[in-house]
Amino acid sequence: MVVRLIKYIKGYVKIRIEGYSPERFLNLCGNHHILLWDIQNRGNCFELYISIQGFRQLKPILKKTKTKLTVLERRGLPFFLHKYRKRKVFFMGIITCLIILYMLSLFIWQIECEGNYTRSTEVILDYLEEINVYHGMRKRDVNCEDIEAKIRSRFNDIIWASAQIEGTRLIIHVKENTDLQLNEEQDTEPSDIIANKAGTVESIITRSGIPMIHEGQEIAAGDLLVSGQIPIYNDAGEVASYQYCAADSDIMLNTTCDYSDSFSMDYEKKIYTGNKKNTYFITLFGRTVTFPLRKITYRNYSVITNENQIKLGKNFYLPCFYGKNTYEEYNIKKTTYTKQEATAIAKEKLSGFCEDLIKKGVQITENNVTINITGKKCIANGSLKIIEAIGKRRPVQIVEIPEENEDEKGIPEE
Amino acid sequence: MKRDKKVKYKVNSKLKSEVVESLKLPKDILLGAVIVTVTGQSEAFVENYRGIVEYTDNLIALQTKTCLVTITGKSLRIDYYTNDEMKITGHIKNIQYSNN
Repeated sequence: MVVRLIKYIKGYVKIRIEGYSPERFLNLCGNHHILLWDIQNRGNCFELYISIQGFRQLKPILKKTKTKLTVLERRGLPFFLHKYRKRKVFFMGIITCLIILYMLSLFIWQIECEGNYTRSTEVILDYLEEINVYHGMRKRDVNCEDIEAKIRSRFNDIIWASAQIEGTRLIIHVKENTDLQLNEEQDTEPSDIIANKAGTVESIITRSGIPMIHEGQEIAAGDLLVSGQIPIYNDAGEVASYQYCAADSDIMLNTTCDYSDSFSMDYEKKIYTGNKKNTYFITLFGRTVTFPLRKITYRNYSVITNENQIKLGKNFYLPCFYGKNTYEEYNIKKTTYTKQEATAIAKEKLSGFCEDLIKKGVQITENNVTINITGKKCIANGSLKIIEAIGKRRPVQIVEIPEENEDEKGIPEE
Repeated sequence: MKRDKKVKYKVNSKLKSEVVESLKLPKDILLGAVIVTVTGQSEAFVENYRGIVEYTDNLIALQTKTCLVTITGKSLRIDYYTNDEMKITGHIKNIQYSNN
């Protein structure tokens, strides 16, 4: 294959030789290191291929052997170029193509992230965009060391980063620290914990500060629960000074939560007729073209839009969208829920509410919600008994303690 | 006198071949032995020859240093031909070595 390509680029001719001893001609060519190929005997003449370079050296050999030579075919790039030498636009096209190719190779067309597990590629790409590393930027403006350093300083859990340019791709390798323990941000400012809800204390575990309540105690919203002000007593049992800390405590509170919900028994039911129409659209730089252009004649319909953004490679999104709208016709029918249906819907809503609470870490101990259907309405009403974690921070009021040596100071003044 | 020279040459060549044999040197280079590599019935590579004596559709005769190699067959073609290597394709029927 490669040999054929080289032959094509250098150019070759098919020749016919006739004479007294064509074999002698072949041997002389061999001795002069001229390559011949596809030699065929055609009765009293030979047909063979020879490169242009070899062809130029043939003259003395032909003279010596008294052979007659006819050129049958000319093949290869030199002949091709010679044939089309007057087609200027064609050559300009080739040159323009090469220039465009070169120009395109000056930009970054793809950014790839590898090795990221907890930080998604989108997050990293967004950050790269912030520091002016984006798809389509000039390759020479990319400073790999700078990108590496910035990624490391921006993301704490990325302990190693490497950026490299491969062709028109920018490849970012990162290594994440997978066994990093996330340090919860702790307030070091002195603070108290106060109640943000009323109820009965279920349990209290204090890590720092002084608890002002005990289990089973009723509290009201705004009560001080844990104080960040720790008194220090002197030998006489008096408060000498205060030490301040950020109170830290887990307080579980028994409390109630009201629930009320109502909805109408009448509703409009959509009955799909099964009629469908598809339209297609293309959005370029914010302008949308839809086709076919016919109008949707349905009175009531729902639209399902499927939109795709065109991208180059994996992550290079272009401002170009295409997609499909599906219009489905329906008729409206007024209907009423049956009692069972209504109860089921109300229950579903309630359990959704409870699930939300549980997701927040709340424990539900009692459920006193009743569902009633009165006339045209379904009403769910009642309260839930729950145990939840409470507590709100408040800065400590720093109390100035009159210093002991105040008296001593006071004497000279008198 | 002439006869003497021929005898001497024969002795010389025998000695040479023995030396080459015992030292396990490549024979194609030192003795000028022809190498014919045949693949199936359709392809033959020939190395170490002097030149073509005759070439027709049915016969290719090659002169080597020591002998004449004649390949006969049908529709024989020379795929390429250089000073030291050639490839013959076609339907090969017979390869004959003849000393003259």
